[in-house]
Amino acid sequence: MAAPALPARRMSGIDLAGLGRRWGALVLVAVWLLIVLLPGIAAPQDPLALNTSNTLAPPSAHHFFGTDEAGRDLWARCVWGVRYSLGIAVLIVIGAAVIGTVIGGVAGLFRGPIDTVLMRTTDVFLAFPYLILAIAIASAVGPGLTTVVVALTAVWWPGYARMVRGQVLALKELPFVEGARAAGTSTFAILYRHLLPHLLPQLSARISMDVGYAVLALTGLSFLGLGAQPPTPELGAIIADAHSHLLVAWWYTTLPGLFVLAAVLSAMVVSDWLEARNKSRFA
Amino acid sequence: MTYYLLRRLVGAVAVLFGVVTGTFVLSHVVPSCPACAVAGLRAGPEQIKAAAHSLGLDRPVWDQYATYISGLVHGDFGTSYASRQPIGPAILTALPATLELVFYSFVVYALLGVGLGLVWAWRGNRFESWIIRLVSMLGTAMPVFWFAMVLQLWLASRVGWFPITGRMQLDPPPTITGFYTVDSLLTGNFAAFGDSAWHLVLPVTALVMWQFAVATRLTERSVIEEMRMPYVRTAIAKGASTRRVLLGHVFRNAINPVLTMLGLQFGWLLGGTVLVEVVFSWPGIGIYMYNALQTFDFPAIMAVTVVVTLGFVVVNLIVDLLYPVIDPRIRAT
Repeated sequence: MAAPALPARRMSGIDLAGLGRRWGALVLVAVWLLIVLLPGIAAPQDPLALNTSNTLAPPSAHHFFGTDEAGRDLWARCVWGVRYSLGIAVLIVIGAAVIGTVIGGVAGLFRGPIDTVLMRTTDVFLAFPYLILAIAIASAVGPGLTTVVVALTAVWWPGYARMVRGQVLALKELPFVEGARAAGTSTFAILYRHLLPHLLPQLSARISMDVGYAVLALTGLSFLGLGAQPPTPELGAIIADAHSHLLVAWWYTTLPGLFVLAAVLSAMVVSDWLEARNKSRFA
Repeated sequence: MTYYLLRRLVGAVAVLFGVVTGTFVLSHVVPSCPACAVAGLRAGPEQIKAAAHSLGLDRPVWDQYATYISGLVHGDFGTSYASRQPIGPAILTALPATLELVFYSFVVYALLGVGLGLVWAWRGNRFESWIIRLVSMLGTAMPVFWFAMVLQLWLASRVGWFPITGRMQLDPPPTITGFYTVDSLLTGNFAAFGDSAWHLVLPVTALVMWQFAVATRLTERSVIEEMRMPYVRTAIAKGASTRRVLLGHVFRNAINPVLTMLGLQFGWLLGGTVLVEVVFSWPGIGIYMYNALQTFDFPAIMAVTVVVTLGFVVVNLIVDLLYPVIDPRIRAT
């Protein structure tokens, strides 16, 4: 399965590429954590403060990213917005991973009719183009941030269920599971105590990747008006507002997207590091 | 072989049944009070009751479900809450615009994605590969609607190379297929063809960029994997040219996962088109769905969901049926 191992750049016995990856990933996580937990440091201005005498002002020393149609500081709105986007994305993906792991694990361990029912349900969820299904669910529940969490968790868990079931099917034939079963361990304890540690490395790489994709999906739903409602600063909603001022305020459209881009690229870097770590550990 | 085909067909029908049931649950069971949305903000209990009655919402759920299913089987998607018009014809008018956009995006995506994936695999760690990697990565990390807006702002509005919105500036050609590019060629109207092709450039670029990484990366992985097979070494040892080894031997064997991916990517394009259509005011079902969202028009939203998912399921079924044609190894089982 694995791609051919590239010759690692080694210098005096230290894996430089690996080190760079690790520190790059850790620094990125630290920076985003700081922005999410303490947005006030990165953006001293109030993201909600109106200033009608300074609307749609281009970027300046006082407003890095310029201002929006209500004179609000866009940099502050983006910093606070990424807080919503990233925070909610993490929530969605972890929720989906938990649901998917339980369903996939149960299906893989029990097999039989339970497996069939669970996996056919998963198939139905996967039959929808995910964005369309998320839109349909969100519209039925009614717009808002909670709705987006529900809708995206609902479209995200089937992927995890499939992945975990496949892994469980492979793992459960191994002697240590047989041993645990012979010792009378219950099925859930086997899943939780014996199988989960083996699932975690792959799960964590996928989760960090999916956080990036969830940010994208979340901004997409907000762009359609299904997510954050005004005046909540959420990146998708900010970009949606910018669309009506596209021709007069280039910064309003262009700059908030760079925040999304940076967040998603960071998720990719972290996931890349986790995956490389898994490979060197288990190869 | 027959068993394989039958199994795929039955599977697709079962999934579609599940999809239809799912949308029914979403539109009839989940919304707290669809009749209130129809009756309006100021409606009293009597008006809401009347609205529910006229929509058939006061009947038992099983009865509504039966009506819904039999309607769908007959191609009846119900009546829009907002316009009080039948939904089927409205979707039918909007569908060609979306299909044209998705079709061209898909063709460009498949050719460019798979082609550049091959280049990436072939050129290994060289400059070209790095460029392809970088572009793929950026495309995946951008919100598709944002990239569409950036294209619109800089290439259409600022520089003026492309039209800002819409499908066509000139009078549209008479409807034959519904694809403006095809219809204008069929009627010999080359000005209209150029115009409609010009309008397609930016939306197609946005959609192709979006999932570009998936195509290039998967092709690269799958080709690299195949290149480690002994038969490739034999072919190279025999003195076959790189092109012959790559296209004649490796690619034919590496294509199965690529094909699966392309089928799945079609679904992503169908989803992404909603976002891109909104940005470019492209008069397809994406805009139709967007407008329905603004008015909580559940039957219309669910109708688009069913139509789009139907397209997705059918495309994946076609991919399943293509395997035995392309790969003799599957035909044997």
